[in-house]
This record gives sequence, structure tokens and C-alpha cells, in this order.
Amino acid sequence: MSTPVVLRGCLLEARDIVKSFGQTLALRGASVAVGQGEILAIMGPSGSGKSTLLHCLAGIFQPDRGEVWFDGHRLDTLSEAERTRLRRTAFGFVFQFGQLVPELTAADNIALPLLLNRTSRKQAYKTAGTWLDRLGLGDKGGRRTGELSGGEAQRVAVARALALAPKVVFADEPTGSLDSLAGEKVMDLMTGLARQQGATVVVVTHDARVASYADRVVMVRDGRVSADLGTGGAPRSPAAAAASASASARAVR
Amino acid sequence: MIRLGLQLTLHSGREAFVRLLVTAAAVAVGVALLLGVLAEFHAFQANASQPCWSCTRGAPVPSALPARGELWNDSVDFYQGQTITRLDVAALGSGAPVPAGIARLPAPGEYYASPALAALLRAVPAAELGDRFPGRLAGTIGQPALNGTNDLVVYIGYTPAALKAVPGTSLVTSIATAPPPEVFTSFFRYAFLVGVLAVLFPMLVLISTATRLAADRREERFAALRLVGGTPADIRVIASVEAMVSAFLGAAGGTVIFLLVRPALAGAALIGTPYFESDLTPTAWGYLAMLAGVPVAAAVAALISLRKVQISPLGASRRTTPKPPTFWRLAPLMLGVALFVVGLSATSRDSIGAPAYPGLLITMAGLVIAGPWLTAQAARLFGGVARGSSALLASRRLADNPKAAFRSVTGLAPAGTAIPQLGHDYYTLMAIGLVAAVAVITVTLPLLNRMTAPNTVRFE
Repeated sequence: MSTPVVLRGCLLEARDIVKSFGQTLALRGASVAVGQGEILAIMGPSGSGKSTLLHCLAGIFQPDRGEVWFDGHRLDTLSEAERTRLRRTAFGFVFQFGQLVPELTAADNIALPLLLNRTSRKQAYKTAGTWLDRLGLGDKGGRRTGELSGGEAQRVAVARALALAPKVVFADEPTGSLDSLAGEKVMDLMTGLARQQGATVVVVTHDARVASYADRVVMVRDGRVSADLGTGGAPRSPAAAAASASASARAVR
Repeated sequence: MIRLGLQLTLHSGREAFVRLLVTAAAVAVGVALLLGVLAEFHAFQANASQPCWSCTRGAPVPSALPARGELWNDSVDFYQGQTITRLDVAALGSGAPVPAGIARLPAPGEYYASPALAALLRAVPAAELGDRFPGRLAGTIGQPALNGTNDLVVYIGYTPAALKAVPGTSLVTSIATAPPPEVFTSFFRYAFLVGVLAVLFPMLVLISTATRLAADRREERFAALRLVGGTPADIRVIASVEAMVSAFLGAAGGTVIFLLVRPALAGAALIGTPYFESDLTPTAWGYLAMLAGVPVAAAVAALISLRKVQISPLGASRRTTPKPPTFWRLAPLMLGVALFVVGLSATSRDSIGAPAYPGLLITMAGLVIAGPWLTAQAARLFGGVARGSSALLASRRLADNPKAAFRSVTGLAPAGTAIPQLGHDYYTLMAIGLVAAVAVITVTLPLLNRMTAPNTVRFE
């Protein structure tokens, strides 16, 4: 990893990143900063590049240009193996589709990142059980995720994302396939438990109700962060305010 | 990670279990066929290298008989079209050499018969057959003297004085132990080699195809593992474990199937002689190669197929778009056919078709090379006349990747070329096996594809 750079209050930051897929330019110099413990919502119309931005922040995509910083280190220059290790140890993911292994039970899915992280089998399943209880799924641990309702499956995904006590949870349309009631429940649990753990949350959504759970909302349009809309409804943490100020200052420069 | 791989393979629900069983069944069919061919080859080799006691040549009988050796008169007899190998023998001393298959020479007034002849003697009136052999049945001739279970052989004991008077009798002091001279052996050896290749190709393709069943679903699962921090090495281990478990179950199942059909196979008389069941074995190394080699081959196939796929945390994508096959793929096939025709015209009674072999081999390879181009052309033609959405989709999928479509039948192409060279018995046996194998794949693939239709893979 490169030499640490101290950015006060800022845990994760994209600086002027550009990302294209073939001839399609998805990001055209997007910048955003997220504070420690902050919940940031990224909104924007379809095809604006909000998911690409999230994937670049999570180290899933490497930007063509620009920089991504995480915890004082360059993320975009890390090797695939190092980014994989980060996904296993510091990041959690809640996506709309496809992030759970349908052949495995709910408990298996939650234990999976722990097992990959070489946690003992006994401890991994004990942790999985604890999280299932916290998310009201104590009786569903033996069910395969393909047999669960959409809301239950997303709660399993939330549990899996938080089980490793990650520093950042990346959520891409986490309620996109749920009805409003189930969506609210998932968001309540995800944001509430993340706050308890002090985890940062970056959530991509087109749903204003989901965005209302965020400390801060940014808009992405045509591959750029076009506006920082400030609070999404919940009180902002001091770190979030600092990160917002830092990003705004850079945007002004 | 191995444990996780085992868990994903064995405890992933009904659908995954069915997938495991179908894969194992397909591998089992392939393994059973391979074991059958290897066993036939072993039995043939064992027969070809068996000591040829009837090749013994003696000296003229002197007027004064010596005190060692024996009088020997071998001949053939016939009963209802069946050949009976007959040896009339008289010991000249206590150390007279004993032919294969018995512990001691028959005493005067006794004879030993092979099990098939003994059964025949019991079944038919003595006047028709039994009366030809003087004396009483003292025992049966063992396997070392026989080529197969239906061999009709008899050793008849005489006094030296009685046998000396029979024309054709000679004096023998030692019995031949060398194998019989090779007449058709090299031809049959070639035939088996072609047979092994003919079965091996489709079976390898079958095994490889079977272990890649529902690859889309598997790749999505691997993508999910990558998302939560699984490394490419973790994925490779899990993929190898999955492939090896199903292949090992298939290899074990195939071995059981082979052992069950072995008696029938031994009696099938593929080259005219029913083998002894104990000869019809692929040897311990053959079993070991199947039980260890097939899982290893399956793991290698799984790893190779993984190399062609980019598995990211968001999903799986092909590394390259396949180029459409070109007309030049026909060149080796045309060359092979030309050489085959020229070779056939040069074939004589002495060469037993040997001049045609190079053309045959190049034609086999040429079919494999030309297949994707032929598939693409067929798909184009089919697409032009297709009616209905299913036919249109099928033709588009074939045309998009004719190489992958043809891969499933790659092995059948050389088999189809080679098997008719082996005679109708091989053709029947292997055709049955291949049809069984193809039936397993044909029936199960659409089923599995329906069961394991991939979820949407998102790329934004």
C-alpha cells in the first residue's frame, strides 16, 4: 500500500475518477468523499453512473483515471489480491440481486465471508446465529436463501455484510426488488446496525425514501457528482459534515 | 476451502444434488465403456500371450520307446459345426510332461475334457459324441489350456502300445510354452487401439461436458464468492473439488456398472471367443487410472473452463468473443478423405487396409477441425428456414458460438469414422454405449438448463 495520507474525518474518497466501458463513458470526473460513520446516498437517473461510482469506491472496478482513497491509502492502485482482501475484511455488500449463494442456507451465507477469512467454523456459525437473531431471522437459519422472501433474503444480505464488522457497507439499490414495507424494514435494520457498529454506508438508490435514511445525499448525472444535497433527513455526524466540507472545498477549487 | 467446496457440492439442496447425480451418471457411462474396452483389450492380450500347447511338435516315434517323454497325437474333431481340439497322449515314464490345464496326465482309459465339452457330453447321447472318447471322464481341463469358456478340448490317456499304432503320433519330451504365432494379432491390436480411441474421444468429451453442466449457475455462485472476498485461488479450489467429487462418484459408479455387465461382456464373443470373466479385467492399474485419473481429468477440465471466464464480484463474462470459423477448416478433412481413398485403392490382402490408416486418422482429426464451420453453415441454413421462437433462438445460439455447440459432438465424429472399421460386433457394442451416453446428455442437459437458468447478471 502507498504512504498513508491523513484526510481528517474522511474515510473514503473518489477524486476526479473516469471510467469507461468500451466506447461508453460511465464516469467523467466524479468526486465524492464519505466520512467515518457517515451514511451517504448516491442518487441519479438510470445510466448516470451511480453504480459504477459505487463499484469504483468499493475497488470492484478500477478507474481509468483519477484516484480512490480508503482509510488514508490509495485503493485504485492496489493489486487484485489486495482489493479482494479488503472486500473480505473491511467491506460489506448489499446488492439488489445475486449477492447471496442460493444453494446455501441463510446461516451458511452469513458465515461465508467469515469462513473465507479463516475464522473457525464454530465461531463463524456462532456469529451467523447471533446476526440471524438480531435481524429477526432466528428460525430461518437452516433455510436456503432461494426459499426466503425477498425481504428476508435482503436481511440475510445485511447480516452477511455486517457480520465481519466492516468499515464500509456498500449497498446498491438494496430495496429495489422489495415492496415499501419490506424495504423500510431492511433500511431500518441496515442503517441502524451500521450506526451501532460505527460503519460507513454508501447506498445507491433512485428512491427518495431510501435516501432519507442517509446523512447526506449526492446526485450523479452524466458521470459526474452534480450536487451535494446535504442531509437526507437523519442527523449528520461531525465526520460526515467534515467530509462534505472537504468535498465541497475541492469542488470549488 | 476444500471443506467449503465439499459443502457446496454435497449440501446445496435438491437441485444441486440432482446436478451432481446427473453429472456422476454421465461420467459413469463413460467410465463403464472405457473399462469395457480396456478389459476386452486385456483379455485379448492375455489370450494372445497364452502358451500354445497345441503348437508342440514331436519327433518320429522310434521302434524302441524311451523311458521318458510321452507319445503325443493332437488332432481336431468336429461336432455340429463346433471344433473339438483333441490330444491323445500316453506317458512313457513318471516324468512325462503335463500339458496346460491339468495336474497329471490322464491314465489309460481316462480323459479330461474342457468344461464346455464336459457339459456337451452330458447333454447329448453318447453315441453321438461320448463314444468318440474312450474311457471315463476323470476331470476338467483348466483355464490355462483354454482360450475361452466355449473351447471344446479333450485330453485322452492311452497305453504307449495302443497310441504308437495310431497314425500321426509323435514322441514329445517337452511341451511348447511359447504363445501361438501372430496371424491376426497385430490386426486386432490395431483394431483395439482404434476402438480405444473411438471410445476415448467421446468419453473425454462426455466427461468434460458433464463436469461443466450448469456452468452459468456455477459461475454466478463463484461471482458471489468473489464479492465477499473469495480469491481466484479459492474459486479454483472449490471448482476443482466440485468437479472431482462428481467425477469420482461417476468413476466409482462406472466401475460398478462394468463389474455388473462383465459376465455379459465376457460372453459376448466380440472376436469369436467368449472370454473367461477373470481375463476380462482392465487390471488394477486400469481401475486405479479410472478412479484417480477421471477425477483429475475432470478437475483439469473445470480449471481450463474457468480460465476462459472472467469471474468478477459482479458476475461472470467470457474473456473473448469467439471468432467465426473459416472455410479453411475444411482443408484437413478434404486431405484426409483424399488420402483415405488413395489408401483404400492401394490396400491389398496382405496389408489388411494399412495404407488407408493415415487417411483415416487425418479424416478423424479433420472432422473435429471442420465441425465448427459445418455447424455454423448448418445453423445459417437452419436459421433461414426456422419457424417459431425456439427454432430461431436455437439457430442464433448455434451461429453465435458454433465451436461450443460442436464441442459436445466432437468425440462422436472420430468414433463415427473409426467404429465401422472394427466390424459389426464392435459397432453394435459401441453404438449402444454411445447412444446411451448421448441419451443421458440429451435428456438431462435441457432439464438442467431449465432448472439452472441463470439469474440476471448486472453490469452498470
